Amino acid sequence: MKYLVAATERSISVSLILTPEVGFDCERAGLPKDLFSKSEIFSQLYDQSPSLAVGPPRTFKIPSHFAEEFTKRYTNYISRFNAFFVTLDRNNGNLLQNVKILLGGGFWKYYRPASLSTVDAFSGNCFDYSKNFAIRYREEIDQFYLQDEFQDPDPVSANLWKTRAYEDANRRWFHQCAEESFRKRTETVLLKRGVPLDISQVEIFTPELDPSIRYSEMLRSLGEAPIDFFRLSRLVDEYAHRVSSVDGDRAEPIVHWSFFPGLQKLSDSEKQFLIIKSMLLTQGQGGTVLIDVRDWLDFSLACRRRVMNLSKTLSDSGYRVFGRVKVVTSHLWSSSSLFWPHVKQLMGNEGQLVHSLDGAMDDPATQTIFIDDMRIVRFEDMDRLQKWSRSGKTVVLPNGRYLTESVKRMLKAGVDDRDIIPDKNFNENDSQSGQIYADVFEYGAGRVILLNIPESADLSKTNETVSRFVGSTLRKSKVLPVCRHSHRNVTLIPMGTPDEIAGCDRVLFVLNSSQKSVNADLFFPQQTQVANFEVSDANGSVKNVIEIESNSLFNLDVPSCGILPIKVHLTENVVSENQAAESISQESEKSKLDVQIAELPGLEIDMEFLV
Amino acid sequence: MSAGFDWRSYQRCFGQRPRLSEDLQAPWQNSPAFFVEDHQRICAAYHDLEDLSDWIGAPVDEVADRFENRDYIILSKSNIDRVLTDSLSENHYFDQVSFLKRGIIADLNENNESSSDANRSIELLSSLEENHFLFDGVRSWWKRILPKRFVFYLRLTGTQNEEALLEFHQGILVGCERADNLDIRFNDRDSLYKLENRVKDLKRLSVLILVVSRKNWEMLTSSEDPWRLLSQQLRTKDAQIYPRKWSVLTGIALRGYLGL
Repeated sequence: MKYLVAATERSISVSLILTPEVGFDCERAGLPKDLFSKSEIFSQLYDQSPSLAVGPPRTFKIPSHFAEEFTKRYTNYISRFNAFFVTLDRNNGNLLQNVKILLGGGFWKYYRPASLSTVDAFSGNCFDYSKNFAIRYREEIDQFYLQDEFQDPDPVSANLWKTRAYEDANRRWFHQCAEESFRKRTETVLLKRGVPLDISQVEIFTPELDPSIRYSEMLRSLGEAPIDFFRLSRLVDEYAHRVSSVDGDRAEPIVHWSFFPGLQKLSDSEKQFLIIKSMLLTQGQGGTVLIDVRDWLDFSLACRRRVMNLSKTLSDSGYRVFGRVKVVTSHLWSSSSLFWPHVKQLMGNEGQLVHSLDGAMDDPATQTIFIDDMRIVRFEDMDRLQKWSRSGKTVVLPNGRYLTESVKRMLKAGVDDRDIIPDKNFNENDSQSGQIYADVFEYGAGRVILLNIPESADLSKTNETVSRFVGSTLRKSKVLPVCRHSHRNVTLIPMGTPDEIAGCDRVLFVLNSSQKSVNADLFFPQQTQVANFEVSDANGSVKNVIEIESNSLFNLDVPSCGILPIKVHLTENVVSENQAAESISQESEKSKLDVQIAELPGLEIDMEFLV
Repeated sequence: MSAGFDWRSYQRCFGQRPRLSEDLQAPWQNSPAFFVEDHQRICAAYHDLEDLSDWIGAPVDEVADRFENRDYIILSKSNIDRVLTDSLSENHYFDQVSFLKRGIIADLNENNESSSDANRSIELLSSLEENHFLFDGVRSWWKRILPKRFVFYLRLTGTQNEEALLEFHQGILVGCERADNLDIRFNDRDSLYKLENRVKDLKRLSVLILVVSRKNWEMLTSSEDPWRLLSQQLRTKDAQIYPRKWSVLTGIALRGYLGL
């Protein structure tokens, strides 16, 4: 109360995060100590070990959102806040004007097993395996499959959806629904009795406490060394790929840097790189970066000025990262294995993983939607996807057991229009031969592609075939990345203004996450004008573009931990010329190889073998 | 009385400096590579200057061959998980890390008595352990003569002042609080005596105050003989201690010059 009064007097806006979050300087995430004396409140991983948040002030077991005691205490706590805001509204209504409530997703994304997330941060299933979960899960699943659509063709069919074969898909669906329900319930309780609160749903990421970094963090602590910079940098990318939403409305991402001992020990350039990278990726999605003021003041004045100016330029111009390709998954925090790895590889930061179909379709930047293999597709979803695709968009979904009977019938009705993708790169065939093939259904200017993976298909080749299929589908849909690069340590973040979704002007941030300067080639699909992008100075004025170069292949020296902004102007027909970019890329690779061979006299290489 | 733990103040006073750009150019073979294995496959890897993620999934033997000429430590996942779970009962994160180190070394000792690799790992892990001289001192025989529970107020002066209020119980650090949270301000007009009384009023415990410049504190921390240096600094008034009792000064000097 005193704090709010002081803030109002000084016209300071206050954002209150009321949901439990790890890594906010509070012991046990601020939860009451006595709650932790009850063993039944904790979440469990697949091997019955506890999920942990490892870091200062103290490592603790993460409670289960399904635990009755935890839920009861949490609801009481939120109700008390509601009562407080009601009183405040009655007595000092003006105090609430500068208050914004931020609701995060709680502990849901921290139920990932650390051992599985070391290669890919979101590998494996992010499930709570505690007893609390099992009870709720069975109840909800029984209720969910009572719907008519699952009792088709006969009521006994509903039991099929509850069998072990569907267990993973059901658990994913249930965890995602439970998380959304947790968010909505919190909001409902806070808004009881008509309190005029400004509430925003956000997704708070704390990279330093992420399960994927747990082992490397423990190993680092043994030698009191700096945190694993490379892993942290990749983790920020993973966060940016995942778009959380509530009822289709995007939850703004917030990356919270706690500056735990490991991060404190990184060099200044590494810390600046992580802050700026996370700022670009979050602000590009309407989010923000959260840092303690003491840590912020530790940065040099020049660095702070640079970050502020960059942030101001991005927000003034409304630059956004466009997720042109969306993969709709059943659970945002679990692995998505069929399409996502290939979309991520091809599209970089222009590919996004979402759980809300509405969210994916409502985003004007979305041009292609892939449906994850473990997502249950109902008639209503399919109907909306079909209508959405009519405006020249593409929808890709795997044919399989996760389509309901009514969806299968709907697709079967259109099977007469079947047209196998005429792409020589895609190993198409018919259903009899056991090979992967695709059915294409044209709807207006758009189309729905059904990917058939027979159970007898050779699994070792499936991944490669799906990769080619994704590439070919994106090419046919004229959705290709703005730019490609040749160096593994380089990351590209393309941004544009909302008016330029279909336009030609982009700002491209070229980031080098290694500790050595790199020489990278940038491949554009066609002749492209590239110029220096200058951020606005303290007065808010943007300096003029000082150098323009036109080409389709650019060579760039990026300093260690460097971030280079470039202004890019693409001419029309960007996509159709992509083949040219690919050939340039291949030529460049070949010339590199020639140089390497020249440096090793006497070495004879069978070029055919290499190709 | 329960004490909180503001790790941020603690880190600012007792943490190591951030690495410099020159450190990034240092040969990466200098520091050991860490691996975690699960069923003879690497499941996690760490090196402070090198990205070892490509080794995840590799067989342990392959890693051992490849890193033959470098310092490396391979730890078992099951052991790490067990020690980590056991460490949850420790008081705060820094104690938990310390427990983890001890637990891992004990496991290596227990399970691989005859292995030369294990002995090398133990040697490496032990060499990585760096205790702060202040905590070593408080944990030594001094704990028998020091009050059972007391507060140590540390103030580092410089361009940016840092303060930490550390609470010890029988030689063990049990809490660290932000001094400015306790509304303690130390300025030229305030005497150490007044400061001591204010801390006493708030904490109801015996207080020992040390005021030293950030530069001198860093010299103390990196010195091979910190207690001797502290004794000299106290004599030359480069550092101030309160209460400035002869017993305190003698204790520091004895430890500095005679190693007691």
